[in-house]
Amino acid sequence: MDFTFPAEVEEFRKEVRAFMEQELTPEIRDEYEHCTDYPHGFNKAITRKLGQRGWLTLTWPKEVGGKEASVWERVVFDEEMAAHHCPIAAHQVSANFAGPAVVHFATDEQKQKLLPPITRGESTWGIGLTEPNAGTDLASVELRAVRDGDDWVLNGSKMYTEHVQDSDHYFLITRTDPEAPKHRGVSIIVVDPRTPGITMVPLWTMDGYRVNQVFFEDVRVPGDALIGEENRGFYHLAMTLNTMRSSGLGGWTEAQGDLDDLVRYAKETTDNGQPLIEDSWVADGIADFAIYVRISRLLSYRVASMLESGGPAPDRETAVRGVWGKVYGQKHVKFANDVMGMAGQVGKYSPEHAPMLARWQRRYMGAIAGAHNGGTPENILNTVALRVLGLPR
Amino acid sequence: MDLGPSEAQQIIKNNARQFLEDACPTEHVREMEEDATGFDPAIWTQVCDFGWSGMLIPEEYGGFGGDMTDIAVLAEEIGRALLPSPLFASSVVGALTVMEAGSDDQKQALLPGIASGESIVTLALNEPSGTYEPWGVQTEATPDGAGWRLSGTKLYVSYADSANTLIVAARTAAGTGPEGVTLFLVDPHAPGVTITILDTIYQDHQFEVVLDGVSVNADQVLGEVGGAWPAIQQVLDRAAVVVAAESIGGAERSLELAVDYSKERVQFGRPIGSFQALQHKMARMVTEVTGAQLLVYEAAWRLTEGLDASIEVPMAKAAASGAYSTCSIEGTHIFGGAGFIKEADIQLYFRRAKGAEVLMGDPRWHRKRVTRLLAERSVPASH
Ligand SMILES: Cc1cc2nc3c(=O)[nH]c(=O)nc-3n(C[C@H](O)[C@H](O)[C@H](O)COP(=O)(O)OP(=O)(O)OC[C@H]3O[C@@H](n4cnc5c(N)ncnc54)[C@H](O)[C@@H]3O)c2cc1C
Ligand SMILES: Cc1cc2nc3c(=O)[nH]c(=O)nc-3n(C[C@H](O)[C@H](O)[C@H](O)COP(=O)(O)OP(=O)(O)OC[C@H]3O[C@@H](n4cnc5c(N)ncnc54)[C@H](O)[C@@H]3O)c2cc1C
Repeated sequence: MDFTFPAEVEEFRKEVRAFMEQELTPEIRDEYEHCTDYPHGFNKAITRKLGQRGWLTLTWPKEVGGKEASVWERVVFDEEMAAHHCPIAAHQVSANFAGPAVVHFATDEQKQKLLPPITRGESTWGIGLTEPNAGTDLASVELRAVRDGDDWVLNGSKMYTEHVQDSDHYFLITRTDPEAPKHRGVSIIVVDPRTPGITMVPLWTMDGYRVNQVFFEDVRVPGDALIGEENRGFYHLAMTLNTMRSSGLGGWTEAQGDLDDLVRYAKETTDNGQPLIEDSWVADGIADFAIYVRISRLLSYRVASMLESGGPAPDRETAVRGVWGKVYGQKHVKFANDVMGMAGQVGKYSPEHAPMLARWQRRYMGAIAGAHNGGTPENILNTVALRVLGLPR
Repeated sequence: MDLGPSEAQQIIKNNARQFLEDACPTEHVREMEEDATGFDPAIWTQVCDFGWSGMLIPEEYGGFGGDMTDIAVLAEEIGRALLPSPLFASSVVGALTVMEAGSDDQKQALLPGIASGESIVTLALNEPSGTYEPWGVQTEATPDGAGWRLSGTKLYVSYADSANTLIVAARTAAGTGPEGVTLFLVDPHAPGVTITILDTIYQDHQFEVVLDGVSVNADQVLGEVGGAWPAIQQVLDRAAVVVAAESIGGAERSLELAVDYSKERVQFGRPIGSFQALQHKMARMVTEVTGAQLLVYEAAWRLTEGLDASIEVPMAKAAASGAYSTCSIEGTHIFGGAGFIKEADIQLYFRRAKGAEVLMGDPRWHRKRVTRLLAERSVPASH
């Protein structure tokens, strides 16, 4: 039994930490918490610096600009980013969600074109899966892509897309064969979101950032916009979704920081002279939160250790980790907010009355989006029931 | 970082499972609930021959020389099979207490017998308050010539009726703190000792031990007079991890039983396992037990490596007890009326989970310990 990182990985952590401490000015960290447009900050300059160091695509093959580093290095990189509140929106989709699908399924020519800018931190992507009539049931996408000569022509719309207003590339799943059974008529197409015929309508989330409904009207893109096999997109996507879900394996450090803040707050804040932390419901909830964070870490390491061992994809472990975060996470955010009592409702525009850097009003709302984004809690429970436990449909 | 059993430990685990499936089916567990001694001497001899009873005892004292991760892995299988035996009471708690508190002579005298299984040594720590805090030790030890006299009531003492030696915690100096707590080696047949079985939910042979002016010699003090608490704390932490591991094994088995039953039981023309309400329950069960198991392994590993585990131990016990409750309570519900009947295996786990939950500290108490440490370690914000 072993729970330690290899020594060279700890060395790498020091390097990343030094970078974060030097580059992430208080203004940038503040942006992470409070920027409009993005929940976790959008900063192209930082993304570029991370890319220059090769850190955005640590585990990618060398021939496409990766470092072929171990999964553990990716984990500590993630841990340090999340712990230091490093803005991620400018590279999150390109490096973690869309990029890996390109690595796996694209032609050499497409890879040469699309991947180097991702590894250098120079291109921002959006990902358009969800549609008005296709949320959890992704195989029902209706955005139609029709071949016309060498080109593809797109009509339809995508829903709730983040990042795309600032993106160079937009990763889409489209309906290419409406006659086939629905899983077998879907293809992945990557477009430039500035292509004529695309319009974006902003939708503002309750916690104040931008997602978009994106309309496609006779949008014409070249034939090489298709990634992977035509009509096999849903199966390619299954892998992409797993990559998405096994990314952010260091994300638990953000919750650790929140917990540390909460403990400090509950220790320093008194209720008629008694520190809140001595109140039994507060003490009990804090420990529960701490256990939650520790298990989040261990479930993440479990996935990492299986990825690193190169065996079969850790689908089971990834799904279980998903349930832990999506089903069990929100109650701790609510608890932390409850501990703040009246002040828990106060946000960034009244910072003098908002505890803990005015973070928690937004955290409270963000916990909902966090649970739904990339798959709902019920969806991941279904996955565990059917795939992990083998329960009947 | 592998976060789990080594290959060698996996072999221990597989062998234990195979043996217990044969030797300890649930009919045997039910039988032992009614049995006067509460365990089968033949099985006990066998598991002692495998080295289980000496697992934690160093080789120089006749043991197997295993560590906390070894016993954790084994305890999972014991929890899964619900093996009725004094293994936990004697070979874990008893052995650890002698190892932590005893002089070398005392270790020489006691450990080989525990390791071979020939002698059963059990700790009498709790009292009617039920607390694992030092204030719970109120049994008095008053000087009497060169020795002492012990008076008080000990409760929840496992297998006291089978024990050759009781290790009794008592106060040699009045108070409520850790100072003044002393351990005594007491013959359960000595005059003034009265042992009465408790009607516990799992019928697992816990006893009330009343000490009425029991006379002990100076050489029956285990370790130092008045200085036993730090050793007791070490024992409690290690034992809590073993109970936690046992709970993981029981929780996993509860889940399996529920999953299997739900695939077969048909209502409304469908297996009940196809109903999403039950599917989501079971998905939560597997998630809780998987997470808690990693935490138990981490705590066991830290103790093995001699790293600070003061926060991991209570976290692990709280999480494992929580997972065992969830899996056994929800599991029993999934069986419907069938789960409530004695013939059902799931109800054995349901009852055992309650016993394991309060053994070596209930989850609420462990969570309190976690928060106390977090508060101590918290530093003012730097910005
Ligand atoms: C802030 C935010 C950012 C997002 N960013 C993006 C993005 O960049 N790109 C993108 O493509 N999408 C994005 N999404 C969309 C997100 O992935 C979807 O919201 C999510 O997949 C759920 O789809 P839906 O909203 O259509 O809900 P629905 O699928 O309609 O679900 C509604 C409710 O029904 C439940 N439900 C549905 N099916 C089942 C079932 N079989 N069993 C049990 N319960 C079920 C769901 O769990 C949910 O509670 C974002 C969402 C949010 C909130
Ligand atoms: C102590 C005791 C006394 C009883 N006394 C009597 C009595 O005097 N007379 C009498 O007639 N009965 C009696 N019963 C039976 C009792 O009413 C049944 O146990 C109960 O109705 C459930 O039926 P079942 O046991 O067959 O479980 P099942 O119906 O097989 O249910 C098993 C599990 O599946 C779940 N489930 C079933 N269908 C669905 C669904 N559609 N969606 C989601 N979940 C589902 C259930 O909630 C349960 O968790 C008694 C039961 C007990 C435990």
